Amino acid sequence: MLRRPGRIGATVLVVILAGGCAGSSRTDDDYRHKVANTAETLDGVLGTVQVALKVSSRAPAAYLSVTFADADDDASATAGNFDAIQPPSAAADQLRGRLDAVMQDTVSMLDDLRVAARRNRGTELAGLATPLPRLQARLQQLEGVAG
Amino acid sequence: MKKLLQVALGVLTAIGGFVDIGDFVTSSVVGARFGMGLAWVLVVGTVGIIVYAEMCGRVAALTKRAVFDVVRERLGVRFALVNLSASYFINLLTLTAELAGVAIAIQLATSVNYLLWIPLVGLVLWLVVWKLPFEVMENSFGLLGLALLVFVISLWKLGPDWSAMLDHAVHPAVPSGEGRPTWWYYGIALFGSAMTPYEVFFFSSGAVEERWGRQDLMTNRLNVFIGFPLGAVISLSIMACSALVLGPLHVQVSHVSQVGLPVALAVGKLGIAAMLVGFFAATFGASLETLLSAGYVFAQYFGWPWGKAAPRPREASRFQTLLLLTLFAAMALALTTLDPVKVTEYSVVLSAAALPLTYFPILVIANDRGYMGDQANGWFSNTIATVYLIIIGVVALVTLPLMLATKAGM
Repeated sequence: MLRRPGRIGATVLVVILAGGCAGSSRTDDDYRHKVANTAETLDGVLGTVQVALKVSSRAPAAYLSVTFADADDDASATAGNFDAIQPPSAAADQLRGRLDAVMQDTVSMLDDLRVAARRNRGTELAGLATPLPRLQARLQQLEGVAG
Repeated sequence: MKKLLQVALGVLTAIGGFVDIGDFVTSSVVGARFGMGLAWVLVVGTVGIIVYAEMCGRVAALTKRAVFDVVRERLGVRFALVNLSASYFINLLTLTAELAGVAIAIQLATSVNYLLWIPLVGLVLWLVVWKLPFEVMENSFGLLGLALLVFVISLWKLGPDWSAMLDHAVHPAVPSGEGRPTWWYYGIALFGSAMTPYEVFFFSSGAVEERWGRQDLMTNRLNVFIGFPLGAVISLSIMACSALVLGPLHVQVSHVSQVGLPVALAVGKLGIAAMLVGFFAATFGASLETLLSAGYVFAQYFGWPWGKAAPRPREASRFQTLLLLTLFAAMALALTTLDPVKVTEYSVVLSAAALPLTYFPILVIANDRGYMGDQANGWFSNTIATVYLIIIGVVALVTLPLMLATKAGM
């Protein structure tokens, strides 16, 4: 039997650890919020990529390589976290399908950019990033689904 | 002339040494997310650290006693033990973040993963602590840290709308889509980054190591009153650069690589090189300070011989052993692949929660005429310090509830 300070400590620990778990959604509204938040996070990652592309001729190759690798890791982690959330209804399934498609395209583009930057093929970066504006537009649409 | 040079060197070191990974990351995170709306917190935090750093420098110069020595005397052995535990834990977290920061600076220059650099950085850090004289160590990294002034140049070259920026800074508002608790949470993180306890532990212990006396009181004041505000200008510039370049694109800063992008945009390769040198020096310097602070607080609490300069290492073996163990612990923590930016965020927020334990005893002893004589606090210092103590108390009370309520600012 834990004494009072021990019980309080254990409760706080459980609350903190629970906060770190991937959330499940019980309602469509909650799920829409999670879709919007994920889209916003990915849009931010693409914002980083947009600036990195703008400075690609003005920044050292090693610096760019790390920047694209960080962006790729962030996008993959965000996609992984979202995929762990179960959609609560058929409507949510549809929303999940839309976001999944954008996430896959985003991660795929970032993989290509990461490899090109790593191999010091700076001239190819702009061509590989052609889908960027379209992906940003699709993500911004999804950011609005929470209303 | 020699005295003037010494003072100038001290001020320059204070400017370059002001920024550490906490200021660097938090300023950028906040700038990208809230624009200049929380710049006022940085100003409030800087005034706070100026007030208390001046006080603890004065106490150290006159009494030859460092902060933790005072803490144990004024709080009592048991209560000071709570302070010791909290301070050591936060120091360890900060050291982990700073160590990782040094390794990340090298990664950004070489593209070799930062985890591979951590053992080497730890070894060099230990050699510097062991071999380099205290003043050389403090001055060299402080001066190199001045390279971070590249953020001020970048801001100027980015050509912002200065009046709009100032207007945003003096009319703070919670941006749409952000909750008020999150806004306050990041405000507390900024406050914690400006007033990190290790800064006063190191500052006061350093004054004792350098054998400050009454004749150094003016140097103390100049370092603090000129060096710290100019150092804070670097933090404000980092915030402004992120607000201008990263904010409009909704970038959430979670890597050091993102912080330098505005510099690349404004100044190019030379700017990035300067930023990396500055960031390396700032984090390496702060690693030395946090490592030594960890040793200082323990040794001062238990009454062990301590000091980098004197006594010689073999005469302060427990102090030196503790430094080594602390360094190993921080390296081990960093090698677990904990996210360095997250560690930084937690360390500055937890620092905020522990502030009263450090700052209250300083205020008490700075008022003790038995120790301080004619250099005890006047009514003006006391008024400001008391206001800050109230702010610090409120911050300490709300930090953990806000951290839980906002899921650490998510």
